[in-house]
Amino acid sequence: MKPIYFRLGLLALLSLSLAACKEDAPEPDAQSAPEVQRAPPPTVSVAVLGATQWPSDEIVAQVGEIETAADPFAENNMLVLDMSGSMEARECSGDDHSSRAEAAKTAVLTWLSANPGDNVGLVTFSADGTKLDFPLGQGSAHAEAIVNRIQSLQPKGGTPLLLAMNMGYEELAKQAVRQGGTGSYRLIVITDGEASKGHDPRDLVSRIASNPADMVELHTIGFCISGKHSLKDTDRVFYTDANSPADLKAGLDATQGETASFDAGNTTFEELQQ
Amino acid sequence: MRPFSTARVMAVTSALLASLSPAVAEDYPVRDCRDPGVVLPMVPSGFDAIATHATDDLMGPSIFQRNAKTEGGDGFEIEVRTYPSFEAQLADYLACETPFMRVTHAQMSHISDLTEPNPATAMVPIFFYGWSNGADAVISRGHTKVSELSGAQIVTDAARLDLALQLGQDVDTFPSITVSEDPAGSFASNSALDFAIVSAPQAEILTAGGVGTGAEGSVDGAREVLTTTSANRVIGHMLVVRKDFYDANPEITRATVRALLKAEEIFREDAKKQVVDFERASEMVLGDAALEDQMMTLWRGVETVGLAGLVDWGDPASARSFRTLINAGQTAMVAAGLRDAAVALNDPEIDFASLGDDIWDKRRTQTSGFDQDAATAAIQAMSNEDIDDSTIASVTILFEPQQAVFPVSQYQDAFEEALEKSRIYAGAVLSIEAHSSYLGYLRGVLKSGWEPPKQKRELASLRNISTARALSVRDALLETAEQIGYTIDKSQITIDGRGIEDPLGGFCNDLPCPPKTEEEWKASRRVIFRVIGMESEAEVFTPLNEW
Repeated sequence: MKPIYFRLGLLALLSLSLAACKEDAPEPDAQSAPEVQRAPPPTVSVAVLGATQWPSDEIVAQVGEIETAADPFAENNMLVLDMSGSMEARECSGDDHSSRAEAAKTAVLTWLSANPGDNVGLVTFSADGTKLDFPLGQGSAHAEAIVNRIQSLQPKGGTPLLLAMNMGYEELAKQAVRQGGTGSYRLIVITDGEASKGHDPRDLVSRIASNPADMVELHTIGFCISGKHSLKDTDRVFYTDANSPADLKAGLDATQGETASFDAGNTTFEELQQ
Repeated sequence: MRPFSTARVMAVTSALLASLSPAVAEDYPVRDCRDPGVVLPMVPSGFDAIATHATDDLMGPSIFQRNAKTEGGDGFEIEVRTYPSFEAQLADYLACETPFMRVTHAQMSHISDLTEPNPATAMVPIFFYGWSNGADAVISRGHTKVSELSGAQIVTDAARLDLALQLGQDVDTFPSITVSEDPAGSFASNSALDFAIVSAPQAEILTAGGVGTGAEGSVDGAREVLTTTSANRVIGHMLVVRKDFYDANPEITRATVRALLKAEEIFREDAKKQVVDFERASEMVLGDAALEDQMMTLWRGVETVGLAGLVDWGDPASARSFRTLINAGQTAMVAAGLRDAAVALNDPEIDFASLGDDIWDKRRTQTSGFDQDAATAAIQAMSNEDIDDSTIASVTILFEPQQAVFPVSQYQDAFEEALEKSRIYAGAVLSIEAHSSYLGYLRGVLKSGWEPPKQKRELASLRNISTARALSVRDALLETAEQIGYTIDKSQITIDGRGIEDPLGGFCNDLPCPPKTEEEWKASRRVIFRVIGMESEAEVFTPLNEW
C-alpha cells in the first residue's frame, strides 16, 4: 500500500512552491531537430540477470539485519542537486530564470511533483559543500524540509558530481536491501554536467547501466549538457531537458508489465523483430 | 529370577519378520513380568547420551538416583542396558529381562504380531524421546533425487521404516520396501537395491562423504539424497512397556517417565555448561570410549521434545501424535504390502500434563529453526537442477496477466497437502518462487525499440510483479494454515521473485525465447511452492543441540 498522505502532502507543497515560477517556456521546435538514423538500441542481457548480484555484499553488510522496510514496493526518489558555481550562469537557464540554479530549483520540483514516489532524499553540492541533506524518508514534514532546503540553496564552489552521485546511489542501494530488492529506485541528477576534475561520473553511470540486476534508474535533468556526456547518453539514462516544462511535468511512462494477450502469429523472434 | 510362563510366541513366517534372524524369530521365550525391576534399554542413538548422563554418579548420587521415586515417595532403582541389535532387545522384552523396549512408530506396528497376540506382552507406549533430526540418511546409487524413488527398491531396518513409508507416499509409485537388520550391508552387496536408509555415520562411509568410489567401504556411485534434517518429523523414538508390567506397576511406570523427563531437562542444562561426559556415553552406548565424537554427532542428530512435546505426542488430535503416526504408518504398510491389514495397538495412557510439577523446562520445541536470510541466499545460489534434485514436494499456481491475486479456493487442497508436507519435512525450506511473463517485454524490446534504461525499468517492474505474487501465495498459505489449525514456522518460508530471469524456453540472443504456445505463455506466470531439503547448506539451520 502506497502512503497516499505523503504524496498528497508533497504535491501540495510543490504546488505552492512552484506557483511563483513561470514555467511555460516555449516548446522546443521539433522541426528544427536534425533527423538522425539511429541504430536499434542495444538490448540488456536478461540471460545474465540470474547470475548478477545487486546490491553488493558490501552494501548488504552495511545494512543492519533488523532494518526491513515496511513497504517492499515503495518508490524511492533520490535527488542530486548541482548548486555549484557554474550554476550561477544564465546561459541555458531559459527566459524566465536569472540563473541555471533558479531554473534547476523549478525543474526539480516540477519533476518531483509529476513523480512524487513514496520516499524522497536529497544530496546537494553548493556553497555549503557536498552533503547528504536528507536520507530517504517520507511524511509531509520531511517533504517540507526538502523543499525549503532546495529553495534556500545558493550556487557556489566546485562540482563534485561523482561524489554526490555516489552518496545518492548508496542511499538507494541500502534502501533496496531494506526492501528486499523490490520497488523502484531513481537517482535524479539536476546538473549542467560540468564536473570538477576527478569527478566525472561516467564510470558510475557505466557500472549502473551494465548491471541488469541494478534497479537504480538514472534520470538527468540537464542544462547545456553536450550530447556525448555520460549523463545524456540515452542508452544509459533517462534524460529530460531542464528547459522543457512539458517534459518535466509529463511524468514517467507507466511500466508496461505483462501483456494481456497471446498472439500465436506474433511470437517468434523473427516476427517480433519485424 | 523371573518365572517362565507357559506361553511361547511361535514361528512367524510372514515376510513382515523377514528382517529378524530365523533362529530368534522362531522361538521367543515369554516370561511373566510383574516384578517392578526397571531396566531401561539403550540403543546406539543420540537420545541415549541422556540415559548415560543420568546414571553418572561420579560426583554424588546420579540423576536417576535422585529422581527415581514415586509420587508417594518410594524410591526405586533404574538400571540401563545396552542392546547392539533390536533382535536382542526384543528377546529380552519378551523374556522380561527388561519390561521396556525402544521402538519407532512403524517398527511398533512391524513387530506387533510378536507382541500383541499375548495380552501380557502387548506394548503400551509411555515415553516419547523425540525425533531423528539428521541422524539418518537416504542414500542411493545412480539417483540424485527423492522423486526417483518412485517404483524403485529401497532397503531399511525396522527402526527407520517410517521414513521409507513416508517417502513411498510422496512419490508417484510406491517403491518396493525391503526390511533388513543390516540395510547398509544389503545395499552394499545387492546392486538391485536403488536406495537405502541408514544412520548418518553409515551414510558417510557408504558415500565417502560425497559420491562413493567403491574404496574404503564406500559403494561406487552412492550419494546422499535426503536426511532427517529435512524430514525431521518422521522417525520418532519412543519407549514402550509390557502391558502386564504396566498394569502391575502403574506408579513405578509413571515415576520412570518422570525421571526420564527430569534427566532430559538436566542433560540440556549440563550440555550447555559442557559438563556432559560424552566419553563415558560413547563407552556405554557405542562400546568404545574413543568414539566420543561420534556420540556427540549422534546427539546433534536428534531432537528431544520436552514435556510439552510429550503432551502433544499423547494427544490424538495433535498433528504428529502417536495415534496419527501409527495410523499413517499402518495405512502405508498396507499400501506397501508389508501388512495385510491394520493392527490394534495401545495408545499412551499416562496423563503426561500432570507430570510437570517439578519440570521447569516446559518448552515446546517449535522454535524458529532457520536462518531465513541464509536460506533465501542459499536457494538463490542453487541452480535449477540443484533445486529440482532437492525438491521434496511442489505445487504450481498460475496467475492471470498483471495479477498478483489468485483464486485461493482453487488451490485449497494443494495448499493443505503442501502444509502437511511442511509439518513432516519440518526441517525443509518452504520456497515460494514466482515468475513473470516475458512476452510483453520482448515486444517492447524487439518491436517498440525500448532504450536500455526503459528495458531495465521494465525488468524491475516484472520482478516486482513476481514478488507480489510470491507474497500473495505466502499469505494464502499462512491463511490456509490458520484455517485448518496448523502452526507454521514462518522462518521456514523463503520468497524469491525472479521476474523473467528463468524463462521456460531458455534464452535466444540474451533474451528470453518467445513462448511457443499459449500454454507456455500462461505457464510463464507461474508461482512454484516447493518443499526443499537443504541438508547441504548447514548455515541455513540454527543448531538444535548446541546449547
